[in-house]
Amino acid sequence: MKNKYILPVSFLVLLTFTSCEDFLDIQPTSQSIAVENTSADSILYKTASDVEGALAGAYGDFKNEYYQLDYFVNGDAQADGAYAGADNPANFQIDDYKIDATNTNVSRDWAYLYSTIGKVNNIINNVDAVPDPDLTDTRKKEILGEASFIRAFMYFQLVQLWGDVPLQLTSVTTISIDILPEIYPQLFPPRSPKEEVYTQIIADLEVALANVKSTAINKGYATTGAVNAVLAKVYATIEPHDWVKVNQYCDAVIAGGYSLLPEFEDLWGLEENTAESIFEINYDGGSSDGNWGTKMWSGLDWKKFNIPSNDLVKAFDAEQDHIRKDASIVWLDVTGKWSDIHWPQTNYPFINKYRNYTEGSNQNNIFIRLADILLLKAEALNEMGDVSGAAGLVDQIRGRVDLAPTTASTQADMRLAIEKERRLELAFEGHRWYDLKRTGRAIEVMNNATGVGGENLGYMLNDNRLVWPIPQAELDKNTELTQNPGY
Amino acid sequence: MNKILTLFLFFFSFTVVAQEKVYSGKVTGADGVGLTGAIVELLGTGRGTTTDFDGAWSIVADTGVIRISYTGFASQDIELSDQLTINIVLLEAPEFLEEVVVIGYGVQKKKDLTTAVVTVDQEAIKDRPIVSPAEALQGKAAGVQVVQYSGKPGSDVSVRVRGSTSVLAGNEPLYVVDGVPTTDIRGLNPNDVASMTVLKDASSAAIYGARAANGVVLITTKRGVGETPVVSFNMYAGVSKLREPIEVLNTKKYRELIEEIMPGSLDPAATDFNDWNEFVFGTGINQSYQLSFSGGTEKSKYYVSGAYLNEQGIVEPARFDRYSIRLNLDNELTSWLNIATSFNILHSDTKDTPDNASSGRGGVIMSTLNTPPFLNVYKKDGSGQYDPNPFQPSWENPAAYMFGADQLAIDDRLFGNLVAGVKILEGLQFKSNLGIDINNHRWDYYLDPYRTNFGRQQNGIGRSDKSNTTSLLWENTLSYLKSFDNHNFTFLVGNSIQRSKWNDSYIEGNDYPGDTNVTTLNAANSIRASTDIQEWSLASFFGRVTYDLANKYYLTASVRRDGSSKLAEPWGTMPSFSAGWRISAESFMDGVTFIDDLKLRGGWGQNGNQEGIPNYAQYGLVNYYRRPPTNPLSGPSAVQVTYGNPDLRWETTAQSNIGFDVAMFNYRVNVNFDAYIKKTSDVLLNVQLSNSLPITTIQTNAGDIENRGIEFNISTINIDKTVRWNSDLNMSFNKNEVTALEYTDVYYFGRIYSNNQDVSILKVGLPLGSFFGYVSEGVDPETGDIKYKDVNNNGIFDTGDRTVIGNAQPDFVWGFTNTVGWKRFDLNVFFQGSQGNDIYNATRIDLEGMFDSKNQSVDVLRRWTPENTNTDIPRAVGGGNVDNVRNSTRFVEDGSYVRLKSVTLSYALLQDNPKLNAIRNLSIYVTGQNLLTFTNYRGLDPEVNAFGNSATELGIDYGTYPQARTLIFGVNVDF
Repeated sequence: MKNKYILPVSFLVLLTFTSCEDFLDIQPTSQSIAVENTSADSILYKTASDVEGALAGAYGDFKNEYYQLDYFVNGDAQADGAYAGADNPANFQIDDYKIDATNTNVSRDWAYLYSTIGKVNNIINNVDAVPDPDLTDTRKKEILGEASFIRAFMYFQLVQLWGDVPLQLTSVTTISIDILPEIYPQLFPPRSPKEEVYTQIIADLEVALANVKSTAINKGYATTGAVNAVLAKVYATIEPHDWVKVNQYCDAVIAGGYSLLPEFEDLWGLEENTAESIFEINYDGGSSDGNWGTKMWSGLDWKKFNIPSNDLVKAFDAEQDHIRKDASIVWLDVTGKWSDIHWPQTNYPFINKYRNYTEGSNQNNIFIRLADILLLKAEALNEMGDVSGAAGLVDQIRGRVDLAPTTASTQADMRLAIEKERRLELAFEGHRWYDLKRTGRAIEVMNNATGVGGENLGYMLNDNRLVWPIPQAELDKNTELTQNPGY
Repeated sequence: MNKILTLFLFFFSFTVVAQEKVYSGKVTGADGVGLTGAIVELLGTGRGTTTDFDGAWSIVADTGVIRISYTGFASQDIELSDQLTINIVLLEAPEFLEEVVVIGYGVQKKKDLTTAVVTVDQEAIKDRPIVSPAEALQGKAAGVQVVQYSGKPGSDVSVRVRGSTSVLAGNEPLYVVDGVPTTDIRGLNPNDVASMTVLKDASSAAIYGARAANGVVLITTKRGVGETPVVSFNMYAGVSKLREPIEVLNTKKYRELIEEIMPGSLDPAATDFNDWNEFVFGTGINQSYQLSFSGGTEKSKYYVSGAYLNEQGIVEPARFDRYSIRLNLDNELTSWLNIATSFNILHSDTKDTPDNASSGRGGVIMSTLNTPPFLNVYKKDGSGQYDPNPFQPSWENPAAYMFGADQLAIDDRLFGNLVAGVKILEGLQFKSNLGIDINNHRWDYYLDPYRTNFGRQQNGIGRSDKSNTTSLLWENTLSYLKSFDNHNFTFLVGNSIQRSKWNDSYIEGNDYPGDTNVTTLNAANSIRASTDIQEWSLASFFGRVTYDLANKYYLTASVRRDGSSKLAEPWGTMPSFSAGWRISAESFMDGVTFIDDLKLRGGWGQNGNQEGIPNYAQYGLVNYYRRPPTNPLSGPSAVQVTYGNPDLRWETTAQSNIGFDVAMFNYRVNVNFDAYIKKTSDVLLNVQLSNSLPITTIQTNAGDIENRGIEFNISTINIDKTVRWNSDLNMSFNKNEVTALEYTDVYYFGRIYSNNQDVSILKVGLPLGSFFGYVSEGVDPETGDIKYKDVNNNGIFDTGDRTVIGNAQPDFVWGFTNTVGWKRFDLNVFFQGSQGNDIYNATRIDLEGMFDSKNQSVDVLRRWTPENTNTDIPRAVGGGNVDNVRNSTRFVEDGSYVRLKSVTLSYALLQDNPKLNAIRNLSIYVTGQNLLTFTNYRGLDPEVNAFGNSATELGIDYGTYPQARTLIFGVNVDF
C-alpha cells in the first residue's frame, strides 16, 4: 500500500534533483560575460571586435562629464576667465580656491580619469594576446599606440591637478575572492613623485608616436600630430621646462600639414575637423551621441556654468579684439530669469564658442588646435632667446583677427604678450589655469583679478591651492595616500 | 525550595514499585460547578472514563499521567502520586490557546509553538484606512518595526523584523501569501486578509532558507466558512489633511533677505504674495468599498470579493486607485483529494507627486517651501507658461512640478495558486502547490513643450516603461503525523522550485510636435530605447520534524537546502533547532494557581538572504553603449562594468532566541517575551577598489552585522462585564551594530543635495543609519558664521573634524492598543511610537542656509546681523556659500514621537438581528488616523525617510511627502 505512493513521489523528487543544475544555470541575456571566471580563461579579448569595442569605450571617455564639463570648469572658472556660474557649491569652491577634500567635482574627476586609465591598462596589457587572426599585427600596434596616448593624456590631467599621483599601469581583468586579500593592497599604491609620472607620460607618448597613424577618419583619434602636440605641452609643463623639446615637437606638429583657418569665427561649429584642428572629439548629435556639455555654457533656460568674467572682457576690450571677443562671448538679456553680482541682467555674457547648444548638440569639442601649438612654439623660441622669432608667430595669430603686430620686444615683455595672446585666443578652451600654473604666474595674476567696478575680487590663492586635495574618499580607501599640504 | 522538593519527588516516584490503586475526584469549572462528560484518560494505556452528572470520576491505575479534557476548556495533565483523591478545576481555554497558527508549510497550535512568531489578525486591519497589509503590522507586533517613510498614496512601507541585517541585499521580510512567496504586497487588499503571522526567529523562518533572514510574514486570506451564505459590504470614506505646515517668509521679508545677499537683483514690481503652502497642501480623500460573498456546502466553500480603493493625497496629483478581485475556493473532491485555489486579480493606477528632491530638481515639497512668495502659478502674460523663478528658471514653482508632467503607472497583476492535497494514509498527506505571479507594469510620462522650462528646453519629453514579471512556483510536500502514547511526531519533507523572469522595455524621446494632444512616443523626433531581461531561479529541499512529549516537552528541527541561480556555487544549507518546555504542565506548578499556562522556548537557526544579490553577480558583465556607426559597421562600444564574483555567497544570519509565554489570572493576562541575538555574516558589500581599475567596486561578502534585542507583548482583559476593556502593549528594543568590515573600512551614503556631502556612514562599531558630520558650536557672534568644533585638535578646520553625530535607529518602538466595549459601542484607541532615534533634517539646510535665492523659513528672521549677534541662526551669506550648512549637529534632531495612530468608535445598529431577514449585522464607525502626534521634531512629520526603505540611509528628511491626518466614516453590513 505504502510502496504504491512512495515510488512516484520519490521519482518526482529525483526528477527535480537531476534537472537542478540546468534549472539553476541562468546566464545574462542583456549583457555579455566578460571573462569566464576560471583560471583556464585568461584571455580578456578573444576577437578583434572585443578589443576594438574596448578601445572605442576608452575613446568614449572623452565624452564623459570630465571632458564635456569639468575640463572647462577646471581650466577656466578656476582661472580668471570665468566665474563658476550656475548653482553648484562644488564649482563655487573651485572658483574661489576654497576646495575641501570632500568636494564632489574633485572626487569625480579623479574617478573619471583613473577609470579611463583602468580601461586602457586592460588594452595595453592584453592587446598582444588577442588570438583572432583578423587582428593584424599592425593594427595591434596601432591599438597599443592609441591606448598609450589616451593613458598619457589622462595622467597629464591628473599630474597637473594633483601633483604626485599613484601610478597604476597594470591591468586586472577579473578578481576572485581567492585572490582579493592578496591583491587588495596592491590595488592601492602610494603616490608617485610627479617627476616619475611625467617620465611615464613621456614613455607612453613615445610608444604612441612610434605606432599611431598620421591621420584618422576624423580628428577624434590619436594621430602623430596629436601625440607630438601633447609631447610639446608636456615638455612645456615639466620642471624645468625643456624648451628645446617643446620647440622640436611643435615643429613636428607644424610639419604635419596643419594650418590656421582663415576665419577665427569658423572654428566654432561652422567647420569641423578642420586643417587647424589637431585633436577634436566628434559628436554626431542626437540622443545617443549628443554633446550635452554645450548646454552647460549657453542658453536662457537656467543659469549657466562658466560665466565670462569682467577681467577677461576688459582684456578683450583693452586689445580692441572684437573678432575674438564676439566669437568667444555672446551677450543676452536675462531680465526676469536670474541675476548675480557680476553682471547686469540686461547685458549678460555667455560663452559663445560652443554655440550649438541645442539638445543633443553635434558640435565637436576641440582639445588641441594649431594656434595653441604656434603660441607654444613662440614661447619656446622666446625662452631660448629668439624674441623676434616668437613675435613672428604671435603676429601670425594676431593677424588672423585683424590685430596689429605685437609691440613686445624684450624677452620679459614677450612673455606677457604671449600669455595675453594665449588668453584671448584660447579663452574658454580649458587652457588658462594650466598656463598660469606652468608659467608660475597663477598667484600674482589671480590675486589681482578685478570685478565689475575694478575692485579686487579677493581671491586668496597661495602655493598650497595650486594643486587640489586628494579626495577624502581616496584617503579613506587607501592608507598609503598622503594629503597635499594645506588641506 | 518546595519546587525542588517536588521535582525530586517526581524523579524518585519512578523507582517506586508499581501498585494498582483507585484514584477518584471531581472535575469542576472555575465556578465550582461540576462538569459533566469531561474525559479522564490514563495516557499511554487507552484506559479512560468520563465524568458523571456532578463531574465525579474514578479510575484504576498504578502510576502514570492522567489527562483531563473538556471541550472549550484547557486540558490538564496530572502525574499520579500517593494522593488518591484528585479534584481538578478546569479553566475555560481562551481561544488563542486552541487557536491554530499558520507556520511555514503547515499549521501548529499556538500552545505548541516553540519559536518566536506573532500573529496579527483582522482586528488590527479593520475599520482603518490601510492600503497595504504591511501597514497593519505597525505597533501591533512586538519585534517588528514598520516605518511609513512617506505619506504618498500607494507608497511602500519599510518593515524590519528584529533590525536590519543587510546593506545591499535588502531588509524587507519575505511575504508568503497563501503559500506563494513574494516581495511585494502593496496590491493586496487588506480586507481580504484573515491573518498575518510573522516568523521572527531563525527556527521558525529557517524552513524558508535563503530568503528568510529578514523574517517571514505568512499571510492567510479569508476563505469560506459556514454553510450559510454571507454577503458583506464594507465601505469607508474620509478626508485627510496636513498636520502642520512649515512657515516661510512672506514677500516683504523675503525681499529684505534677498536685498541683503543679492542687492538690486529683484524686480521692484515683484510684490505679489502667494501662499504656496496653501496652494500645495490640500485635502486628501480616502475611500474604500468592498463587497464579499462567502459560504458553500459541506464539501465546497467559497470566498469571493470585489473591492475598490482610492486614496488621493494631500499634495496633488498623487493618488492610488486599486481594483481587486479575490476568488478563494476549497473543494473536497473525494475523501482523499481536496483542491484549494486562491486567486487575486489586481489593477492599480498610481500617480506620483515628485518629492525627496530639491526645489531645483523637481521636488514639490521643497519647491513649496523655497519658491519665492511673489511668484504666481502661471505667467501673467497669458502664455500659459508656469511663472518662472527670476533667479533660476529651471527652479520651477510647485505647480509646474505637480502638474507639468502627465504621468501614470498602471499595474495589472494576477497572483495566486492551486493546491492539491492528497491523503495517502491516515496522517500522511501529500500536497502540491502550483503558484503564479504575473505582473504587467506600464508607466507613461509626457511633458509638453510649452508650460515648463524643462519641457521647452527639450521641446517636449516622453517616456514609457513597460515591463512584465512572471514568476512560477511549484512546491511539493509530504507530511506525516504520528502519535503513540505521549509521543507526538510530525514529519515534513518537501521541495520547491521557483523561476522568475523580468522583461522590460524603456523608451524615452524628446522634440515633440506642437499639438499637445499627441503624447505618445511615435511623435517624438528623437528616441532612445532599450530592452532588458533579468531572470533568476531558486530550487530548494526542506524538511522538519516536531516532537512533543505529553504536550510538555517540545522539540523541533528543520533544515533547508537552497540552490540559487545567482551564485556560482548555488547550494547552501540552513538548519535550525528549537525546544519548548511547558512548565505549567509540571506537577510542581500545581500550587502556583495564578499561572494558567507557562512555556519556555528556545531556538537556534540559520537563515539566508539572497534577495538583493544581482541576478548575474557571479559573472563579469560587459555593457554596450551606442556610438556613431562605423564604416564598415562594427557594433557598439563595449565596456566591462562589473567584476564577476564566482565566490559570492548569500548572507547568513544565525539567530538564537529564547522566550516565554505565560498566561495568568484565569488567562486574563498574557505575556510573551523574547530575547534574541542575530549575527549576520558574509554581508554583501560593494568593496571599493582602486579608481585606477576600470571597475571601481566589486560586490563581495565583506562584513558582519549584529542585532540583539528583547521584545515583549502584554495582553490583558481588564474588565469583561457590561463594560469590556482589553489592552495590548508591545515593545521592541533592538540594538544594531556593524561588527566587521573587510577590505573597505568605511562607506558613506546619503548625499545631501545642497552641500553635496554624504551624511550616513557605515563603519565597524556603529549601527546602520549613523550620521556623520561636523559638530556645530553655534554661531560665532563675531562673524555670524557657524563655528565647527576642531574634533581632531589639529588647529585647523578640515575634513578630519567630522565625527559621528547621530543615529537614526530608535532605542525602542512600541504600540499600545485599548479596546473598550459598552453595549453596542466599541472604542479602539491605538497609540504607537518610536523612542531615541535621530532625524537628519536636511530640509532645514535649504530653509535656513540663506546661500541663494531660495525662500527660507521664518526662523531666519532671527539671523545674525551686526546688531543681532547672539543667535542660533547664522548670517545671510548668499553667493552659494554653503559653509554654514555643512552636515553637522545643527541639523540633527530628536525624532522620537508618540502618536495616536488610530482611534475608532463604532456602533452596532443591528446585531445578529432576528427580525430583519435581509440585514444580519450593521455597524457604523468613525476612525481618526494620526490625529495626535507628540514630538519635538521640527519637520513636517517625524515618520520620514527621503531614501525610502534604504538600509543605510535612514531617518533623513529632505522634502518628503508627509503623512496626513485622516478622518474616515465607515459602514459594515452583513446580509
